[in-house]
Amino acid sequence: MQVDDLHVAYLRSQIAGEEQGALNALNALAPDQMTPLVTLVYEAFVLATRMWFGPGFTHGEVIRLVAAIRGLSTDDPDFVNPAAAESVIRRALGENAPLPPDPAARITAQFVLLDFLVRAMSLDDDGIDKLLDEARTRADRALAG
Amino acid sequence: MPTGEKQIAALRLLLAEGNHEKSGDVVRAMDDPARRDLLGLVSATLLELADRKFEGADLPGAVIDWVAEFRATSTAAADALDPAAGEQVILLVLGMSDAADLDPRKSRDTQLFLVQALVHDLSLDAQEIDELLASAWKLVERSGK
Repeated sequence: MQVDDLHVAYLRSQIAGEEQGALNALNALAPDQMTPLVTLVYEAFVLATRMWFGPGFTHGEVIRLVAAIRGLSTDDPDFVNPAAAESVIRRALGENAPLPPDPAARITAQFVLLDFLVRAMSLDDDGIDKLLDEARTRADRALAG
Repeated sequence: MPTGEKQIAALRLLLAEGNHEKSGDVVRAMDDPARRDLLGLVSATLLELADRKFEGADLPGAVIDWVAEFRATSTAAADALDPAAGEQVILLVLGMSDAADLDPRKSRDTQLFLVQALVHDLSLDAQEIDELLASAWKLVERSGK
């Protein structure tokens, strides 16, 4: 099982906010193709998180980032579970933080955080391509292992 | 002993003197109705404090920010306060949330924790704490009528 172009197309459309493009890519995926997509999203999220924080970080910075993101959607801040979001960030940065028990909360947090970080870092098309290429390589390695 | 005196004494020991042991002794000596009144006093005190802290603030963003800033001060603070529960309990007393998905025990523990955190945040001295508790007890009496 490997990441293919459709997975990457989906995530690129999602990051660009192209809902129809994301939907088309998602509809073209077979049900058994979700595992590579989840892995690709995770690896892209990990890379974006490490780019954002750099080599050093504090828990306070993680907490403030999550609060800032949730504060942007004050209509429904609970869309992102803060404990789950903080935990996935800390795990992405190499800490042994508890794994959020709810997979949906984990994946939602990864998606929302990835989306925010790509925008906040002002990644252009080349930057997004580079991120997705590296995420794909890492995801394929993880899926092969 | 006039009604409310034991409850106010228990909470005062905690808030003004930081004496968890003596406060616990007073609570343990209470019968069930007195403990129910104590829970009412804690809720009313939180309402008074949240009103002061968040009066005129942009909600829920200000609550999300405050909980995050409090938790960002130390790992111990971050671990001690569940962000979603903290926000929900504050928004609940401010009339902007409902308690449908909040575990009653967790809600009580979070209320007591937040009362201490807000007293610290607002830098209330012993006299101001006495005034706060007296005012909160009036709310308890009013809601009991």
